[in-house]
Amino acid sequence: MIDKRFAHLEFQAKSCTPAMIAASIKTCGCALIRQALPTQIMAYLGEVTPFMFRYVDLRETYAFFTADATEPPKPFRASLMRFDVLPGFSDMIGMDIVKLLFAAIDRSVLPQVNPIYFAGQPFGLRSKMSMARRQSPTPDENTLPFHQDGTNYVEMNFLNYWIPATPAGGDAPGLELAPVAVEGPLEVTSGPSLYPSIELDAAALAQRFGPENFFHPIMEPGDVLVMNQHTVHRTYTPPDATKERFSFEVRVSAASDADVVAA
Amino acid sequence: MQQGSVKAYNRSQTFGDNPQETVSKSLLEAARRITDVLAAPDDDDQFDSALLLNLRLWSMIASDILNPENTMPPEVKSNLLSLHRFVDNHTLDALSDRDPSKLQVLININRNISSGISSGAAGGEVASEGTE
Repeated sequence: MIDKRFAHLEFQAKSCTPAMIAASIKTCGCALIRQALPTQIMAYLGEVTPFMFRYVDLRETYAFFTADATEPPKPFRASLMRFDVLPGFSDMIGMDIVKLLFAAIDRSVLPQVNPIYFAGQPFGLRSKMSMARRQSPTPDENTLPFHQDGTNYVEMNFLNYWIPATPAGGDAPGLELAPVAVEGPLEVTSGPSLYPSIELDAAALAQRFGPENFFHPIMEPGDVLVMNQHTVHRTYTPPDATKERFSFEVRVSAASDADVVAA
Repeated sequence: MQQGSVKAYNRSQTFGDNPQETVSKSLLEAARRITDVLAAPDDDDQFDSALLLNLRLWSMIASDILNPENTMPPEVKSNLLSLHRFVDNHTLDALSDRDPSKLQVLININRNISSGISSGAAGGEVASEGTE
Protein backbone atom coordinates (compact mmCIF):
# COMPACT_ATOMS: atom_id res chain seq x y z
CA MET A 1 0.00 0.00 0.00
CA ILE A 2 1.59 3.23 -1.17
CA ASP A 3 0.89 6.52 0.56
CA LYS A 4 0.57 8.82 -2.46
CA ARG A 5 2.16 11.71 -0.61
CA PHE A 6 5.35 9.70 -0.50
CA ALA A 7 5.11 7.79 -3.76
CA HIS A 8 8.12 9.67 -5.11
CA LEU A 9 10.27 7.96 -2.46
CA GLU A 10 9.36 4.45 -3.56
CA PHE A 11 11.15 2.47 -6.24
CA GLN A 12 10.65 -0.99 -7.64
CA ALA A 13 14.02 -2.70 -7.76
CA LYS A 14 13.36 -4.22 -11.17
CA SER A 15 12.40 -0.99 -12.87
CA CYS A 16 14.50 1.69 -11.25
CA THR A 17 18.04 2.78 -11.91
CA PRO A 18 20.84 3.26 -9.37
CA ALA A 19 20.98 6.93 -10.35
CA MET A 20 17.31 7.42 -9.43
CA ILE A 21 17.93 5.94 -5.99
CA ALA A 22 21.06 7.99 -5.40
CA ALA A 23 19.22 11.15 -6.44
CA SER A 24 16.37 10.43 -4.03
CA ILE A 25 18.80 9.97 -1.15
CA LYS A 26 20.53 13.22 -2.04
CA THR A 27 17.36 15.25 -2.40
CA CYS A 28 15.00 13.59 0.11
CA GLY A 29 17.39 11.89 2.50
CA CYS A 30 16.01 8.47 1.68
CA ALA A 31 14.81 5.95 -0.88
CA LEU A 32 12.53 2.99 -0.32
CA ILE A 33 13.40 0.16 -2.70
CA ARG A 34 10.73 -2.51 -2.98
CA GLN A 35 11.91 -6.10 -3.46
CA ALA A 36 15.52 -5.00 -3.56
CA LEU A 37 16.81 -8.19 -1.94
CA PRO A 38 16.02 -11.79 -2.94
CA THR A 39 12.73 -12.52 -1.23
CA GLN A 40 13.40 -16.19 -0.54
CA ILE A 41 16.69 -15.42 1.19
CA MET A 42 15.07 -12.67 3.24
CA ALA A 43 12.20 -14.96 4.22
CA TYR A 44 14.75 -17.46 5.48
CA LEU A 45 16.63 -14.77 7.41
CA GLY A 46 13.30 -13.76 8.92
CA GLU A 47 12.84 -17.33 10.14
CA VAL A 48 16.27 -17.76 11.69
CA THR A 49 17.06 -14.30 13.05
CA PRO A 50 14.65 -14.66 16.00
CA PHE A 51 16.51 -17.81 17.03
CA MET A 52 19.77 -15.87 17.09
CA PHE A 53 18.20 -13.47 19.58
CA ARG A 54 16.68 -16.27 21.66
CA TYR A 55 20.10 -17.87 21.80
CA VAL A 56 21.74 -14.68 23.00
CA ASP A 57 18.98 -14.20 25.58
CA LEU A 58 19.60 -17.68 26.91
CA ARG A 59 23.34 -17.13 26.94
CA GLU A 60 22.93 -13.88 28.88
CA THR A 61 20.56 -15.47 31.36
CA TYR A 62 22.84 -18.45 31.80
CA ALA A 63 25.80 -16.13 32.37
CA PHE A 64 23.83 -14.33 35.06
CA PHE A 65 22.91 -17.46 36.93
CA THR A 66 26.36 -18.99 36.71
CA ALA A 67 28.38 -15.87 37.50
CA ASP A 68 28.47 -13.83 40.64
CA ALA A 69 26.57 -11.04 38.93
CA THR A 70 24.93 -8.30 40.88
CA GLU A 71 22.47 -7.16 38.25
CA PRO A 72 19.89 -9.28 36.46
CA PRO A 73 20.28 -9.65 32.70
CA LYS A 74 18.70 -6.80 30.85
CA PRO A 75 15.77 -7.83 28.68
CA PHE A 76 16.36 -7.46 24.98
CA ARG A 77 20.04 -6.88 25.50
CA ALA A 78 20.46 -8.84 22.31
CA SER A 79 19.00 -5.98 20.35
CA LEU A 80 22.19 -4.10 21.06
CA MET A 81 24.28 -6.95 19.79
CA ARG A 82 26.25 -5.90 16.79
CA PHE A 83 27.09 -8.45 14.20
CA ASP A 84 30.70 -7.97 13.51
CA VAL A 85 32.74 -9.80 10.92
CA LEU A 86 35.82 -9.32 13.07
CA PRO A 87 36.88 -11.83 15.72
CA GLY A 88 34.94 -11.33 18.89
CA PHE A 89 31.61 -12.26 17.49
CA SER A 90 31.66 -15.95 18.15
CA ASP A 91 28.10 -16.89 17.39
CA MET A 92 28.42 -19.15 14.35
CA ILE A 93 24.78 -18.95 13.41
CA GLY A 94 25.07 -15.19 13.55
CA MET A 95 28.07 -15.26 11.26
CA ASP A 96 26.14 -17.37 8.78
CA ILE A 97 23.32 -14.87 8.86
CA VAL A 98 25.68 -11.98 8.29
CA LYS A 99 27.37 -13.71 5.38
CA LEU A 100 24.08 -14.57 3.73
CA LEU A 101 22.74 -11.06 4.23
CA PHE A 102 25.85 -9.49 2.73
CA ALA A 103 25.66 -11.89 -0.21
CA ALA A 104 22.02 -10.89 -0.76
CA ILE A 105 23.02 -7.22 -0.74
CA ASP A 106 25.78 -7.95 -3.25
CA ARG A 107 23.19 -9.38 -5.64
CA SER A 108 20.99 -6.28 -5.39
CA VAL A 109 21.00 -2.82 -6.95
CA LEU A 110 22.53 -1.34 -3.79
CA PRO A 111 26.22 -1.79 -4.69
CA GLN A 112 25.52 0.11 -7.91
CA VAL A 113 24.06 3.02 -5.97
CA ASN A 114 27.16 3.51 -3.83
CA PRO A 115 29.62 4.76 -6.48
CA ILE A 116 27.04 7.29 -7.66
CA TYR A 117 26.11 8.45 -4.18
CA PHE A 118 29.71 8.68 -2.99
CA ALA A 119 30.60 10.42 -6.26
CA GLY A 120 33.72 8.50 -7.11
CA GLN A 121 35.06 8.27 -3.55
CA PRO A 122 36.00 4.78 -2.45
CA PHE A 123 33.45 3.31 -0.09
CA GLY A 124 33.08 0.24 2.06
CA LEU A 125 30.78 -1.73 4.25
CA ARG A 126 31.22 -0.72 7.85
CA SER A 127 30.80 -3.89 9.83
CA LYS A 128 31.18 -2.49 13.33
CA MET A 129 28.32 -0.07 12.75
CA SER A 130 26.04 -2.73 11.32
CA MET A 131 23.66 -4.66 13.52
CA ALA A 132 20.61 -6.82 13.92
CA ARG A 133 17.77 -5.35 15.93
CA ARG A 134 14.68 -6.70 17.65
CA GLN A 135 11.77 -4.42 18.42
CA SER A 136 8.89 -5.21 20.73
CA PRO A 137 5.32 -4.37 19.61
CA THR A 138 4.88 -2.29 22.74
CA PRO A 139 7.14 0.70 23.30
CA ASP A 140 10.08 -0.07 25.58
CA GLU A 141 13.59 1.15 26.22
CA ASN A 142 14.62 0.01 22.74
CA THR A 143 12.05 2.25 21.08
CA LEU A 144 14.33 4.88 19.62
CA PRO A 145 13.20 8.52 19.57
CA PHE A 146 13.83 10.85 16.64
CA HIS A 147 17.52 10.97 15.92
CA GLN A 148 20.13 11.15 13.19
CA ASP A 149 22.55 8.26 12.83
CA GLY A 150 25.40 10.69 12.22
CA THR A 151 25.02 12.70 15.44
CA ASN A 152 27.95 10.93 17.03
CA TYR A 153 29.88 10.50 13.77
CA VAL A 154 30.07 14.08 12.59
CA GLU A 155 32.97 13.60 10.19
CA MET A 156 31.59 10.48 8.61
CA ASN A 157 29.70 10.25 5.33
CA PHE A 158 27.60 7.10 5.29
CA LEU A 159 24.42 5.33 4.25
CA ASN A 160 22.20 3.12 6.33
CA TYR A 161 20.46 0.20 4.62
CA TRP A 162 17.48 -0.44 6.88
CA ILE A 163 16.38 -3.98 6.12
CA PRO A 164 13.39 -5.68 7.73
CA ALA A 165 13.83 -9.41 8.27
CA THR A 166 10.15 -9.66 9.21
CA PRO A 167 7.20 -7.44 8.20
CA ALA A 168 7.49 -3.93 9.57
CA GLY A 169 5.23 -0.93 9.95
CA GLY A 170 1.89 -2.80 9.77
CA ASP A 171 1.25 -5.16 12.67
CA ALA A 172 4.84 -4.81 13.87
CA PRO A 173 7.01 -1.79 14.58
CA GLY A 174 8.55 0.00 11.64
CA LEU A 175 10.37 3.21 11.05
CA GLU A 176 9.18 6.81 10.77
CA LEU A 177 11.26 9.45 9.06
CA ALA A 178 11.29 12.95 7.71
CA PRO A 179 11.89 12.54 3.97
CA VAL A 180 13.86 15.73 3.68
CA ALA A 181 17.53 16.28 2.95
CA VAL A 182 19.14 17.64 6.10
CA GLU A 183 22.59 19.13 5.71
CA GLY A 184 24.09 18.41 9.09
CA PRO A 185 23.47 17.35 12.67
CA LEU A 186 20.54 19.00 14.43
CA GLU A 187 20.59 20.05 18.04
CA VAL A 188 19.67 17.29 20.48
CA THR A 189 16.89 17.85 22.97
CA SER A 190 17.63 19.55 26.24
CA GLY A 191 14.72 17.79 27.94
CA PRO A 192 14.79 14.49 29.81
CA SER A 193 15.67 11.54 27.60
CA LEU A 194 16.69 7.91 27.69
CA TYR A 195 18.97 8.82 24.78
CA PRO A 196 20.31 12.26 25.73
CA SER A 197 23.21 12.13 23.27
CA ILE A 198 21.06 11.62 20.19
CA GLU A 199 17.38 12.43 20.86
CA LEU A 200 15.92 15.30 18.87
CA ASP A 201 13.00 17.38 20.08
CA ALA A 202 9.87 15.90 18.46
CA ALA A 203 7.86 19.12 18.80
CA ALA A 204 10.62 21.15 17.17
CA LEU A 205 10.82 18.63 14.32
CA ALA A 206 7.04 18.74 13.78
CA GLN A 207 7.28 22.49 13.54
CA ARG A 208 10.23 22.33 11.18
CA PHE A 209 8.95 19.66 8.78
CA GLY A 210 5.18 19.80 9.35
CA PRO A 211 3.54 17.08 11.46
CA GLU A 212 1.88 15.50 8.41
CA ASN A 213 5.14 15.08 6.54
CA PHE A 214 6.54 12.12 8.39
CA PHE A 215 6.72 8.90 6.44
CA HIS A 216 6.18 5.51 8.08
CA PRO A 217 6.09 2.89 5.33
CA ILE A 218 4.80 -0.65 5.62
CA MET A 219 7.67 -2.88 4.57
CA GLU A 220 8.09 -6.55 3.75
CA PRO A 221 11.24 -8.69 3.86
CA GLY A 222 13.13 -7.89 0.65
CA ASP A 223 12.39 -4.16 0.86
CA VAL A 224 15.21 -1.81 1.81
CA LEU A 225 14.99 1.73 3.11
CA VAL A 226 18.19 3.65 2.42
CA MET A 227 18.92 6.74 4.50
CA ASN A 228 21.99 8.91 4.90
CA GLN A 229 23.66 9.92 8.14
CA HIS A 230 21.54 13.05 8.58
CA THR A 231 18.09 11.59 7.87
CA VAL A 232 15.80 12.21 10.86
CA HIS A 233 14.05 9.02 11.91
CA ARG A 234 12.74 7.01 14.85
CA THR A 235 11.11 3.71 15.71
CA TYR A 236 7.46 3.77 14.68
CA THR A 237 5.04 1.67 16.70
CA PRO A 238 1.73 1.27 14.85
CA PRO A 239 -1.33 1.54 17.13
CA ASP A 240 -2.36 -2.05 16.39
CA ALA A 241 1.09 -3.61 16.54
CA THR A 242 1.04 -7.11 18.01
CA LYS A 243 4.22 -8.68 16.64
CA GLU A 244 7.93 -8.35 17.19
CA ARG A 245 10.01 -6.99 14.38
CA PHE A 246 13.48 -8.13 13.45
CA SER A 247 15.61 -6.01 11.20
CA PHE A 248 19.15 -5.34 10.06
CA GLU A 249 21.00 -2.09 9.73
CA VAL A 250 23.94 -2.21 7.39
CA ARG A 251 26.10 0.85 7.03
CA VAL A 252 28.29 1.77 4.11
CA SER A 253 30.68 4.67 4.44
CA ALA A 254 33.29 6.56 2.51
CA ALA A 255 36.49 4.58 2.72
CA SER A 256 38.54 7.37 4.24
CA ASP A 257 37.19 6.03 7.52
CA ALA A 258 38.99 3.21 9.27
CA ASP A 259 37.40 -0.21 9.74
CA VAL A 260 36.15 -0.60 6.23
CA VAL A 261 36.24 -4.30 5.62
CA ALA A 262 34.53 -4.88 2.29
CA ALA A 263 33.78 -2.92 -0.82
CA MET B 1 28.71 -42.60 9.48
CA GLN B 2 25.80 -41.90 7.18
CA GLN B 3 24.65 -45.49 6.81
CA GLY B 4 24.92 -46.21 10.51
CA SER B 5 23.03 -43.07 11.37
CA VAL B 6 20.05 -43.56 9.17
CA LYS B 7 19.42 -47.18 9.96
CA ALA B 8 18.21 -46.11 13.32
CA TYR B 9 15.86 -43.40 12.13
CA ASN B 10 12.93 -44.44 14.22
CA ARG B 11 9.70 -43.17 15.62
CA SER B 12 9.36 -39.53 14.70
CA GLN B 13 7.30 -36.68 16.11
CA THR B 14 7.54 -34.65 12.95
CA PHE B 15 7.17 -36.99 10.04
CA GLY B 16 3.96 -38.87 10.68
CA ASP B 17 3.18 -42.59 10.83
CA ASN B 18 5.93 -43.66 8.49
CA PRO B 19 8.73 -41.21 9.16
CA GLN B 20 11.40 -43.24 7.40
CA GLU B 21 9.55 -43.17 4.13
CA THR B 22 8.62 -39.51 4.48
CA VAL B 23 12.17 -38.47 5.28
CA SER B 24 13.64 -40.68 2.59
CA LYS B 25 11.37 -39.28 -0.12
CA SER B 26 11.87 -35.72 1.07
CA LEU B 27 15.63 -36.05 0.95
CA LEU B 28 15.45 -37.47 -2.56
CA GLU B 29 13.16 -34.69 -3.69
CA ALA B 30 15.49 -32.07 -2.23
CA ALA B 31 18.41 -33.78 -4.00
CA ARG B 32 16.46 -33.76 -7.26
CA ARG B 33 15.81 -30.04 -6.99
CA ILE B 34 19.45 -29.31 -6.25
CA THR B 35 20.37 -31.43 -9.28
CA ASP B 36 18.06 -29.24 -11.37
CA VAL B 37 20.02 -26.23 -10.18
CA LEU B 38 23.17 -27.70 -11.70
CA ALA B 39 21.43 -27.66 -15.07
CA ALA B 40 20.56 -23.97 -14.73
CA PRO B 41 22.98 -22.44 -12.21
CA ASP B 42 22.18 -18.88 -13.26
CA ASP B 43 18.54 -19.17 -12.25
CA ASP B 44 18.78 -17.39 -8.90
CA ASP B 45 15.22 -18.16 -7.80
CA GLN B 46 15.66 -21.86 -8.43
CA PHE B 47 19.04 -21.81 -6.70
CA ASP B 48 17.61 -20.14 -3.60
CA SER B 49 14.48 -22.26 -3.59
CA ALA B 50 16.27 -25.62 -3.82
CA LEU B 51 18.91 -24.88 -1.22
CA LEU B 52 16.52 -23.27 1.24
CA LEU B 53 14.21 -26.28 0.93
CA ASN B 54 17.15 -28.51 1.82
CA LEU B 55 18.07 -26.28 4.77
CA ARG B 56 14.53 -26.39 6.12
CA LEU B 57 14.27 -30.14 5.63
CA TRP B 58 17.48 -30.75 7.56
CA SER B 59 16.34 -28.37 10.27
CA MET B 60 13.17 -30.44 10.66
CA ILE B 61 15.21 -33.62 10.81
CA ALA B 62 17.48 -32.11 13.47
CA SER B 63 14.50 -30.82 15.41
CA ASP B 64 12.98 -34.29 15.35
CA ILE B 65 16.20 -35.87 16.55
CA LEU B 66 16.35 -33.42 19.45
CA ASN B 67 12.82 -34.23 20.54
CA PRO B 68 13.09 -35.91 23.96
CA GLU B 69 10.65 -38.60 22.83
CA ASN B 70 12.89 -39.65 19.96
CA THR B 71 14.33 -43.01 21.01
CA MET B 72 17.18 -43.11 18.54
CA PRO B 73 20.48 -44.24 20.12
CA PRO B 74 22.59 -41.29 21.33
CA GLU B 75 25.53 -42.02 19.02
CA VAL B 76 23.22 -42.09 16.01
CA LYS B 77 21.65 -38.81 17.06
CA SER B 78 25.10 -37.35 17.45
CA ASN B 79 26.16 -38.49 13.98
CA LEU B 80 23.06 -37.14 12.31
CA LEU B 81 23.36 -33.84 14.13
CA SER B 82 26.97 -33.56 12.99
CA LEU B 83 25.81 -34.20 9.48
CA HIS B 84 23.09 -31.58 9.91
CA ARG B 85 25.69 -29.07 11.05
CA PHE B 86 27.80 -29.78 7.98
CA VAL B 87 24.81 -29.51 5.63
CA ASP B 88 23.75 -26.28 7.32
CA ASN B 89 27.15 -24.62 7.02
CA HIS B 90 27.82 -25.93 3.55
CA THR B 91 24.41 -24.87 2.23
CA LEU B 92 24.75 -21.37 3.64
CA ASP B 93 28.19 -21.14 2.06
CA ALA B 94 26.79 -22.25 -1.28
CA LEU B 95 23.93 -19.75 -1.02
CA SER B 96 26.32 -16.93 -0.21
CA ASP B 97 28.98 -17.80 -2.76
CA ARG B 98 26.56 -18.85 -5.54
CA ASP B 99 28.96 -21.66 -6.24
CA PRO B 100 27.41 -24.63 -8.08
CA SER B 101 30.52 -26.72 -7.41
CA LYS B 102 29.44 -26.88 -3.78
CA LEU B 103 26.15 -28.57 -4.58
CA GLN B 104 27.22 -32.09 -5.52
CA VAL B 105 28.19 -32.99 -1.97
CA LEU B 106 24.72 -31.98 -0.75
CA ILE B 107 23.12 -34.11 -3.43
CA ASN B 108 25.29 -37.08 -2.45
CA ILE B 109 24.51 -36.74 1.25
CA ASN B 110 20.79 -36.61 0.64
CA ARG B 111 20.87 -39.59 -1.70
CA ASN B 112 22.99 -41.66 0.67
CA ILE B 113 20.86 -40.91 3.69
CA SER B 114 17.70 -41.54 1.72
CA SER B 115 19.03 -44.82 0.42
CA GLY B 116 20.08 -45.90 3.90
CA ILE B 117 16.71 -45.08 5.35
CA SER B 118 14.90 -46.92 2.56
CA SER B 119 17.01 -50.04 2.79
CA GLY B 120 16.81 -50.00 6.55
CA ALA B 121 13.07 -49.64 6.54
CA ALA B 122 12.65 -52.31 3.86
CA GLY B 123 14.85 -54.77 5.69
CA GLY B 124 13.39 -54.10 9.08
CA GLU B 125 16.68 -52.68 10.36
CA VAL B 126 15.15 -49.42 11.36
CA ALA B 127 12.58 -51.12 13.51
CA SER B 128 15.02 -53.52 15.10
CA GLU B 129 17.66 -50.93 15.86
CA GLY B 130 15.65 -47.97 16.84
CA THR B 131 12.19 -48.82 18.03
CA GLU B 132 11.38 -49.38 21.64
